[in-house]
Amino acid sequence: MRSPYISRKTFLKATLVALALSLAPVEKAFAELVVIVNKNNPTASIRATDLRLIYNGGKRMFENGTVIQPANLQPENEVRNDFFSRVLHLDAESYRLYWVRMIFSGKGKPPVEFENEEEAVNFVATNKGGLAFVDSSSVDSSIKAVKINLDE
Amino acid sequence: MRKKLFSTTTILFAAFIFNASPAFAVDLSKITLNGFVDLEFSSADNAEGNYNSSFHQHHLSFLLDVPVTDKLSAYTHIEFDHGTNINTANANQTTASRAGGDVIVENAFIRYASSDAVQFRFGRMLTPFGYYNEIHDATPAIISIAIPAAINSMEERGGIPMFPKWSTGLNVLGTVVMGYSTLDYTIYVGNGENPAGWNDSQSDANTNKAFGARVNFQPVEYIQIGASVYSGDKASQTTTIAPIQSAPHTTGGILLSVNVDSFFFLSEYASSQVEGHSASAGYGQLTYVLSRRFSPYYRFEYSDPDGSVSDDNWIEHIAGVNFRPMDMANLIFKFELSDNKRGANNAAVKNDLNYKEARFAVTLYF
Repeated sequence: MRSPYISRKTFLKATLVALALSLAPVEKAFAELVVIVNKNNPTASIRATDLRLIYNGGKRMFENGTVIQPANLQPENEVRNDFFSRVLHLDAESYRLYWVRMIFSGKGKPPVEFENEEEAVNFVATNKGGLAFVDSSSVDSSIKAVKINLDE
Repeated sequence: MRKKLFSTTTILFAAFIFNASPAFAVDLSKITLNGFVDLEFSSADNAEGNYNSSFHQHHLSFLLDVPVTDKLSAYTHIEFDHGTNINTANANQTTASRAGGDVIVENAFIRYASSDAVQFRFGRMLTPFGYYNEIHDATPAIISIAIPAAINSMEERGGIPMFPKWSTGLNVLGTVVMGYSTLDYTIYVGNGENPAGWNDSQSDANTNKAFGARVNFQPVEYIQIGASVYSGDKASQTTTIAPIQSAPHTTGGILLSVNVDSFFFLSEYASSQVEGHSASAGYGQLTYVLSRRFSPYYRFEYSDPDGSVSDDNWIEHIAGVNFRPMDMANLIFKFELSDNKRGANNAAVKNDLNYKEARFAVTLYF
């Protein structure tokens, strides 16, 4: 009959394997983050600096004068978290505090929030100034994807 | 001739009435209503602070943002301060026990955005000076329970205000992007400071107009450097028969903020000259966003309300924490301890030079 207890050697091996696995880099499975605009919008690419300004209310218009209507996703959304950390370099709490300050000092309104990417895509498709960020798998022919130029 | 003129006028009037386009309507779904309500409690170790350990229903605020077009909107912020009760007294209750509090139009302006770099405001607005005055004391928007009295409320520090809280007039503002840097500017002209009891949104006590400007420069995303200036003639009525006296009032301020990861450091300094007096004040504040729920903070404030008076400084240390129990409910609890040390010649001192105060606030915003 086998002992119900593992040997010290087996335990040591298992611990080392577990440690090695925990230290291995974890790759998050995101396809590709893209910014989308209305398909009639001539914008081809957009800088991360400009996206930061758009999402903090500092930039309100495209180069052609169209008022930008940025769309956001809800705070727990993974695509939003990815966009905020990789592109905007903002954490959720700092962003929330920033917009509370902006609202109560009369400086503007935060981007409208949607529950999912499908709603954000529909919003951009039906608003000429619409702009949103989605996973590339959500892009369809109703909108146009633009390239994000990350800051040097 | 008169008959012909009358007929023509009548026809034109009728044509105007019957061909008038329908009233200009605003898409109700685009109107935004925000606001907040709060309750405060404070308790001090002597009568220099709140020795009665009282509750205070400080704010009930409603903000309305009405976009008329993409570029034109109206913005209003109405505040009911201190549990406003403006009922007249009845036979059984004296006015003193019933009436009190204020109804304040904090902001009421028309906003036109011509471009990102050029926007306009027309109306009454909180004076754009420094970091805090435009936020005013909106409890959900500030980390502490009150904004720094140093600079923003020098009248509570034994001095006189460094600038008027509101400005009624015109404001040009905008954001300019330069590479990876951004510059926010605002320039305004308004009626300036009236004697106590005068409403500068209703009337102007002198021919002078006050001017001011503020620039905030962000060379990189985590650093902001700012400067503000206010200049006007402060009107004051010395006697009932003498003409209103005006004295030049000039205030300048600088700002530095650094936001790295979860740390936010903010510091301001301002200096003011009015009616032969000079005043200076500053503060440094460090906030750490520990998690979505907890944000501890510390602030050091320094005020010198009158440069010509010795030993009148006021120093305050504040340490506190914000706690948000729920993500979605926008409910915030604040607790802070304040330690105040004043010089013997500070005009606000009644008996004791020093006092400590514990403060608590709960606020819900929407």
